[in-house]
Amino acid sequence: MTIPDALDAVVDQLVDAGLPATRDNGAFYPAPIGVLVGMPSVTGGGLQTRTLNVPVHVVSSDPPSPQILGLLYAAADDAADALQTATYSPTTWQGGPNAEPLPAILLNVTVTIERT
Amino acid sequence: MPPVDSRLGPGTLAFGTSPTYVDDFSIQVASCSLMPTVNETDGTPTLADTTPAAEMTVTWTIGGNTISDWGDDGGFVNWAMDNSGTQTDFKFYPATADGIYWEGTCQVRPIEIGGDVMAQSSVAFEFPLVGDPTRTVD
Repeated sequence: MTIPDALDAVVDQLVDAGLPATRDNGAFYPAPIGVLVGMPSVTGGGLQTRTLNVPVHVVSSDPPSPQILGLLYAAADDAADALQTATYSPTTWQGGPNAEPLPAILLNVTVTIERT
Repeated sequence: MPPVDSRLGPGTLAFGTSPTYVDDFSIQVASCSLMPTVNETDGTPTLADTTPAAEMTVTWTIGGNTISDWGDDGGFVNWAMDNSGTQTDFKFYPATADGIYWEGTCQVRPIEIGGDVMAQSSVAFEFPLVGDPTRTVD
């Protein structure tokens, strides 16, 4: 499996969980919540495998009001369950047409793929 | 002359009956080594040789770490549990591109089942060899 295929698989898992996920940074526009699968790091490898660390940002388009935080953390929980990841942490995300950093939650997801 | 820097992967770790190794767990193995253990005792000085060399025996182990796959009934962890105590041949090809591999017979031992919640876990495996491994150059 190639790295782009692995990222597509992550996006598919999130979409299957009902989350608006993409890995197209240019077309990413959270309304009010979106999930962006970012550029992975290759962190290790085995006899026939490679291990990737994939950053997944759960982003809100609005300032972190109590209502938005509720939506943001609910989406982060769904993403964590879908991707079998125990931990996440708050951060900000900046990109696309947004001039200001947006509130976000970052999940670092470990993915192992077969060497091609 | 540049140094030789041997690194694992892509390679193979498979078990079965030589030369057919049907249980190939290469996809799970994150690290693997053939590890020697040297046991030695002092030699007995004699009139002819007052400083004899130590007497040594070498035993081998094939082991390393594997990504936990207890959720797969036919995976490495459950295979080790099901075959615990039995002797099987193995083939360890550290890096296929290097064209050199080791074979031998080992006794299968169980592997830890479990790990951290919602995280990939790596568990150790260690199978003692029966006799010495043999090296083959392709």
